[in-house]
Amino acid sequence: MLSVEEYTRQAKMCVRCTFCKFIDLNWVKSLRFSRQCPIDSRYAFNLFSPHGLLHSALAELDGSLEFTPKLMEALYQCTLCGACDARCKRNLDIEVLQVIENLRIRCVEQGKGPMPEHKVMADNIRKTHNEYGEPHENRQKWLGNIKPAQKADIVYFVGCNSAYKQPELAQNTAKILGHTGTDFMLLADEWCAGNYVMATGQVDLARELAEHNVKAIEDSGAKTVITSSAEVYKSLKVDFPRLLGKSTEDMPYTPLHITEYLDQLMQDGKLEFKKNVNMKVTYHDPCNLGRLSEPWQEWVPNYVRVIPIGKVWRRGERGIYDAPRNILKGISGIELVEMERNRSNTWCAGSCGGTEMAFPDFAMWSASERIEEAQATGADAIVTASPDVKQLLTKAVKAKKANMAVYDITEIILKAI
Amino acid sequence: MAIKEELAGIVGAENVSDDAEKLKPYSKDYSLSAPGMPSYVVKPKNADEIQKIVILANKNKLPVVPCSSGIHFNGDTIPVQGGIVLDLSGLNKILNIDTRNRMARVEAGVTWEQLQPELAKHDMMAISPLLPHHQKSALISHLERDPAVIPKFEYTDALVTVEVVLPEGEIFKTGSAAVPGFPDKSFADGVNPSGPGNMMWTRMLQGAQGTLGVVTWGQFKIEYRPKVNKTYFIPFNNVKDAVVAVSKIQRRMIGEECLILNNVDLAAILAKQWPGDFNTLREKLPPWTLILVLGGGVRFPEEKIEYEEDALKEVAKELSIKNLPTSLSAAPGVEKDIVDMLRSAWPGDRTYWKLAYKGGCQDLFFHTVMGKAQAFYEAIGKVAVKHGYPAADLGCYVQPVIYGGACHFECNFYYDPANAEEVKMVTKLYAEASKTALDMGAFYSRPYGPITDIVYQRAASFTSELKKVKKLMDPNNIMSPGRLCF
Amino acid sequence: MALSKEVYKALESVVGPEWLSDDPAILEADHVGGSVHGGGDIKRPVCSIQPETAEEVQGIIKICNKYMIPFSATTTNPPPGLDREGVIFIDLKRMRKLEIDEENLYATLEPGVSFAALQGELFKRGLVTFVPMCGGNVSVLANTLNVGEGAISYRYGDRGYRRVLATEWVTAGGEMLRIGSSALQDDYFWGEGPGPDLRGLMASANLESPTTRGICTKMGVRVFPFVDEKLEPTGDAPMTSLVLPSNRFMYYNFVFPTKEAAINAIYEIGKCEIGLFVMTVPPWFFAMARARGSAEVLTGAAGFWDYWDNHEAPLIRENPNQTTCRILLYGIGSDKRLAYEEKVLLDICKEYGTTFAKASRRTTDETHFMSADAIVSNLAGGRFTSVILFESLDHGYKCADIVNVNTKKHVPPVLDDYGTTNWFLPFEMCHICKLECLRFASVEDAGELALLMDDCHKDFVDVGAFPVRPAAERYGPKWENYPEKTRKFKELLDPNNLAPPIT
Repeated sequence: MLSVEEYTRQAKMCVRCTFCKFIDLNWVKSLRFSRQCPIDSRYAFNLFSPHGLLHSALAELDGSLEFTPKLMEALYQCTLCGACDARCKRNLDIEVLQVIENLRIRCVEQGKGPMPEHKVMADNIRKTHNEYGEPHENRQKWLGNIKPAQKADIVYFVGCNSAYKQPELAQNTAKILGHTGTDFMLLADEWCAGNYVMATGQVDLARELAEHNVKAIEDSGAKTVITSSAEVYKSLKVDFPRLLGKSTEDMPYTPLHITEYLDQLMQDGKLEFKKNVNMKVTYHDPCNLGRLSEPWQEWVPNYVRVIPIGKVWRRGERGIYDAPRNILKGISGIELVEMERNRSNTWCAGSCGGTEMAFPDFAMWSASERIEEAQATGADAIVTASPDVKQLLTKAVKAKKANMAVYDITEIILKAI
Repeated sequence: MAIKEELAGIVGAENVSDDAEKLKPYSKDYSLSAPGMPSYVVKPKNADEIQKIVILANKNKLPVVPCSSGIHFNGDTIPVQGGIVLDLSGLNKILNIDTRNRMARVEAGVTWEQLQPELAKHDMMAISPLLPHHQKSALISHLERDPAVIPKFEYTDALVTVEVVLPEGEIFKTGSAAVPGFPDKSFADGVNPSGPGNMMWTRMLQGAQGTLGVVTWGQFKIEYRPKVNKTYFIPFNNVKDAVVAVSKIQRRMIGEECLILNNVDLAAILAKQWPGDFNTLREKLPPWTLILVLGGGVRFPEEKIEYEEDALKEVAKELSIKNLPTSLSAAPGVEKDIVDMLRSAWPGDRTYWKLAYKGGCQDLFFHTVMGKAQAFYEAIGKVAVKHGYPAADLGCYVQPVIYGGACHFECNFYYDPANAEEVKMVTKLYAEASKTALDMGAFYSRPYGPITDIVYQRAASFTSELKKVKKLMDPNNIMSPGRLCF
Repeated sequence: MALSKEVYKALESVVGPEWLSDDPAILEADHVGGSVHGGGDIKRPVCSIQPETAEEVQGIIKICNKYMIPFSATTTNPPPGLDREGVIFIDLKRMRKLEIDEENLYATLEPGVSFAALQGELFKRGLVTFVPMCGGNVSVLANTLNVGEGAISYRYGDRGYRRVLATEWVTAGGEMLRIGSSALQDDYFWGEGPGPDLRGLMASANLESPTTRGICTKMGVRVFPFVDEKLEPTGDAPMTSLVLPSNRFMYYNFVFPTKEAAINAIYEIGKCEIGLFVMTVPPWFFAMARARGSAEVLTGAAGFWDYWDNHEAPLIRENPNQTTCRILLYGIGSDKRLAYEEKVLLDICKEYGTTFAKASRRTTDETHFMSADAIVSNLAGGRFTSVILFESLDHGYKCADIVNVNTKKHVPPVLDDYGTTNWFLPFEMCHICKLECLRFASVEDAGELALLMDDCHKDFVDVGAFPVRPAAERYGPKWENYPEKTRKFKELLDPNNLAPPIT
């Protein structure tokens, strides 16, 4: 995590230009969908904004501000979606997200945070290795009649949501892999990947989860880990190396999202979608698969004047945006229409960062905003590539009584094969 | 010492008068405003003299009414409460023509007749209102925001900096002219209208009708005067269609002069022999004519005209306009003269076009959006007919402004000032038509005449603050008291 | 210093409890200026309040006047006037209404509407607005009143004052003031009058004290005709741009052997009325544009400084007077216009001795239509300062020399730009010009930049230069004693002296 010196340097560079609140300006097409920061859009007070949190970080550091309930509200309603980080790096290259993450870590270290719901989640994970507190021995119950390989080069890392809450999505993934002739295995002892643990500043527990899961992957002998959860993907690709002081490329496995894997098969001519799926859809880029999923580079701060030497910038452009779209476009009958805020401009649906469990109303508001944007495209359905996002968007559609279906991309793929 | 003697001590005895015959010309003008006799007329030669006069006026609580042009049509220089008329016609120097920054700095008494030919020597022109009277002050046109015949946004807000004698007697220069050593010893060229400080003084003085100070000189933008031009006279049966065409033309950002005149006004402008020419022209001219001048650029002028012509033809095609005449069958040869006419003052050796028909003309004008021109024309026409004004005599001029984003809409009521009945009729007509237009959403950005009181009553929040500003700047209320809402 | 319960309740009755707060974390985030945290003696406001309507703003101001509590208001800019204790901070971000009258070329909007949002809506309608160089994210209303300049001010008006139509204000004394057509009707299409133009009373576009006499709550703003073709966005952040239709736009870079030739040519370009914008391009900008992105790091280059020190600086030392200009030619309205403009440009280039004139055939724009590339300047040093002047091009040229001479005295730690970061942007077809002299230093050396500015101003005041934000105590006595006058108008509209002071 950031040293105090680096943390201070980054936060001090903020000049409050407020670029962090808007999508990339060249992509703005309307007043309605021009903004990108959920807390800023909802609350408008400057505290509820990336620059507000950066300056709060400095104030907390110099002792002029404590972790008051209001600060905690702003800090933990921020979904850590990374929009501000990508936008700021157009002009100022400040590590906005890392500063906010570190502020959460400091909050936890001082015993003020995280939110009670996050502590419950952490306790659950300590006891049962999943965020819900469900029996650990039920983690593979979703398999039913599906029989993964005993040994394979590919591990399918399922994730808590698919394992326990939406088993059909795990089954979809398994069937899809089977359809493509891909042998895969499960980890002998898969634990929660800890996306929300890391996000909520509970770094020690996050590191334990990383160590355990990485060892489990190493022990399995697999070189590739596939997942259909955007959250797990980000954990595998970014959080695990970061927690272990390594770069993504140094890890003993290659993480792939199911869409990446299938897209590659399509490019190699090894996958065709034979069935028609007549639907007009719009694709929601999950933050964890897009902006937040660029490879992590372990870097020791080294500056010449203000230029960091040897640093590989993570500005959001190397996220997984094309693969899901290639898949959807590759299915005949699918008409793909884009929302105004797409790719690295995506609007956070509200499930990131642990926000939903502590602030469900706010998360629902964010999801509702996204549904409105999807409706504006005229699409029949919104498709995403994250079980958590799918779950929340489904709730929002129901609450709004919106005439829109919500799909995980594995559901669409399954229809097409 | 008597006031007159004090004034003579400032400007010289030959430049002061309290003789009734000499005061009479200042007591009235070509508007329907009630006459008002001043106590003195004074002709200063420079700002220092004006300053001393204003200080004297403050001491004696004497009104001061500045008057720069040699002719007036709006009643804005008629003293309401007596006092001193400050005749600024003696401040008639063109102080500087800056062809590099394209600016002209002129004293208040410089007329359009004087200015345009001087600028033409440098292939430049000031963007003027429609055919200003030869005695009209060019600076006053800018101060009073007369609408320009070229609606290019690039050319508007032409007035940048001024020198003003404020109502308490201080001489003040606005914008970047405020720097020490201006104009000869400063880096600044006086082209920035903002400030000094966080106010725009130049703007505050515009539209003030002499109530906030006496402007002695002003600097304004001048532009290249195209040498190669091509004029179109596009006929329309109604103003509604004309404004649609203007809107499309302006969206393509082509053309220089662009204005719409009805047959009555155009006939008055083009008639040389009266009344024969006028009646013939009025009958033969189309109901409405859009005059559009395509001006060649500094370089490759014919090619500029060529591409603008192509664009115009595309507009014509869109609107199914079959004819794009470059002449007027009712006035053969006018195409040779019209451009020079529009870039000059009305010649001093001819009766002014607004006065030639009957000797008098009352203008009713305001700002509105172009789409409402037809509705206003019809409504004002109805009021005119109601009062017995002949429909065939109703003049109308629509001047698009800023790429057609709005327009100056003007109706002209021609009348014989020697005929008491006509005067009475037009007075009533004008009052009612003004109010009708106001109720329909006309915006009197420059209120004159009877509508003034109503406008300021309705604009209560504005009026209240404006009065505070006036009180601050002119605590003794000596500058044109009784004018506007003061 | 806390608000009394009585005042708090009064404010709450205006906006409701959700939009009012005196929480320390809220106030901490509100009080920060656009600079280093804690820099300057900026105090925390005593509460933060978020009105949604002009009536709510008026209600708040009236309470301030009743209880003699100072206030400060802003949208995107850091709030002014927080060097005083006990200030109520009025945050106007919730006021976000926008209406566009496409036919009559104006938009009516509230403080919370950003330029990028307005531009996005206008592009859909074949219209365009200028966007300031500080970024399309800023408030249209606030920026237009306070300064309002951007690249296309070359054609579409000097600064914001040219585009302001009717306005609605709440004066600092709590009165509602509507100027222009809004004084008589609920229509913001015309800005002047009735009679004297009180827009001149309320704002000046001089980057000074924008809310010192009142808060603008609604404004009509002029928008402009544009090409029919759509400017489509392309790319992923940070390398995004708008694709410019090549039949309507053409970028040209051209290089003059001397600064004088460049200035003379720019004057001629303005007179010929070609282009959508034209400017000189400091080589500093080229270096910054090239030194970003992962590629430099991956190939081992040390980024900006490596590029500047080893590539640009030697070129500049070899040709110190060489001046690069850029123009965007504009083919609006006719398919032949672009070719005409190009012909005129090349004719001018030939006459004024360009050593290089190339249509870069760049078909994308990163910066000028949405101003997505603002604040990039910070990359070079961490901090920068600007000496800004709006006057004639010749005035700018003379003032640039003064800035260059003074810069040398402060190098190091101010970074040596070899006199090349003087940026000329002519406006109004060269009737007026903005000169911005950017100077850079690291965060730790920001103080030296202030000293440099001070030295420049000492010289400016004597030669009759006209910079923005002049220090009143230095310039006032020489400039018609204007502070005395502006103070009186301030007192008129702010009798209790509660709005931010004139700076």
